[in-house]
Amino acid sequence: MNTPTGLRRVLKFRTVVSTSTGLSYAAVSLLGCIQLSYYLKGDSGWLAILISGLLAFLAALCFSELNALYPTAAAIRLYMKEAISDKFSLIMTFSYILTIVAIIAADSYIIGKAITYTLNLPDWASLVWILALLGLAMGANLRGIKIAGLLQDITTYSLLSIAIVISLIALSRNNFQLHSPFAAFSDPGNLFNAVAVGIFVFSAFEWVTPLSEEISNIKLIPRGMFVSLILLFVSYSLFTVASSNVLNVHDAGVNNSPVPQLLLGNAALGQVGIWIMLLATLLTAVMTFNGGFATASRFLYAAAREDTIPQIFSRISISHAVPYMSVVALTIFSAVIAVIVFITGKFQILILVGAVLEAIIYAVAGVCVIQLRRRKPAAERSFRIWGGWAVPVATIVIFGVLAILASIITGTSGLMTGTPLAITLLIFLISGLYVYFIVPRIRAAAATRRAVRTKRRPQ
Amino acid sequence: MATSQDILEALADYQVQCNENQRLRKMQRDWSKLLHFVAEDTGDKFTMNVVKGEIISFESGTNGTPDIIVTTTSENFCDMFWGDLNPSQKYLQGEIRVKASQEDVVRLDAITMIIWPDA
Repeated sequence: MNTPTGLRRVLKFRTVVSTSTGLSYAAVSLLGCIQLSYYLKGDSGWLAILISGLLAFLAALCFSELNALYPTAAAIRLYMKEAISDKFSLIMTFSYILTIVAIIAADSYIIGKAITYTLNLPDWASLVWILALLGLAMGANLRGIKIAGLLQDITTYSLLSIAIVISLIALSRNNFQLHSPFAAFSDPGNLFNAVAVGIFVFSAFEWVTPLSEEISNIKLIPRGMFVSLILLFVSYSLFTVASSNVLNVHDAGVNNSPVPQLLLGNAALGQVGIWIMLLATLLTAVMTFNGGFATASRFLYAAAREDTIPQIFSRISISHAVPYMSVVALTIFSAVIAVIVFITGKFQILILVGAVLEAIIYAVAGVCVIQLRRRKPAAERSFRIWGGWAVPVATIVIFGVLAILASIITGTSGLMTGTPLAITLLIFLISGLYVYFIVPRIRAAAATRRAVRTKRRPQ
Repeated sequence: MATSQDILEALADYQVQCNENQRLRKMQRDWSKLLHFVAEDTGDKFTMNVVKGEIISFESGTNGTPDIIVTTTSENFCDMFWGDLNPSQKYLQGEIRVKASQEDVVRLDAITMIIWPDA
């Protein structure tokens, strides 16, 4: 009997939105909001968030068309390979994984600091918490524990609600009297800087595209991303305005603090507010560790099976069917970055490098849309951006400029000019050298291994 | 292009290999799924029923509502079920398409890796 094929279990639109929102809503994003408001006068940080959000909308359109062409978790590898080249696709994929690792590291650092701050512990205790949290996340992932479906929805929407309510309570302290909410327009140079940082706070909303294989209608992905961007805008802009309204974001004690969300909680509700914002911070960690580890470990597993990284990363746990070597490697890598950030205290660099990498990835998405329209004009697309090449070209130009801008700004901690640029170039250099010199050797060794294998299929 | 009979023979061997592999059975001990396979070049369709890691049946045609749908060419299906193909590579090349949860996609590939580590 032949019957129509639809999956027994499919994800609902609610989960698509919560995945996109939850992956983007990292604890470090809240620090990004403070960083961008540092550049602007008065309570006008929301303007930078609005502009960044609208620009992210352009990128979302490009990702939607690419996802419609390749509705698979492997989409990033496929569309970059088809549009540009296999080597370029690999370099960008490795950079993507590094972005995920950096966010996991940043969040573990921030949460460690937040726990220490709330419990009034000595600073060294943060390091213990950071390593303990990463160890806990590794243990949960090794046991195949995953927060999904309804629980994930509850976590994300609780997080959004807490951030919005605390922000509104903080604003109510000054009777919602805003200081110069449009002042950003008087200083376009700094507004551009703030928008460049703002790209980071929306980053990762597009990581929802791997869910394409788990939904009934592929159009839910673009819709989910658009709704997610709106929710993120509302929450981030309220947090930014409330922070600039009740805290002095131009003071180093605030803009260089790894826990500005707790300072806002304190301003809103005192000690109770601190505990509530600690809860919100822990919720961001749940989402980051849950989604980040799962996405990145599968990327590494697939890369090992594809013979682009050593085979050891494809080892899978028989007890829990988890690619355990990938999970362990991710944890170690995240811990190293987190410890470096703990020692230097320069978390701002992760925000700026993250902004540069995301802007580059968005610009590349625009290039891929144009290239694939030229190379595969007749391919079926359930979503096609209207207006011809206008949106992808605008995406390339705008995010190209923002990538350059983010790479040369210094942030609040007085980094040496060009530090984000140097780190980004180093990342691409290492990725490039690896792809051009190491990957061919791994592939050659795999090909030799397979060549001596006897085919089992009867001829 | 492989015939429906070719794929059924490959599936018969795949069933034996999966069910006799103790490591795989241990890993899949809580994995019960209904799978549909769609050969896009011939239009042939197949159903496989896995209960607690054991392939208890496979047949031509699609029955029931699946947990996993795998779509590729008939040749790829034959090679995959005979263990002569690395599913991940074909998946990343876009030649194999899967509708399933991300965990199940990894498990499908892991089955091949455990039975035929050199594939």
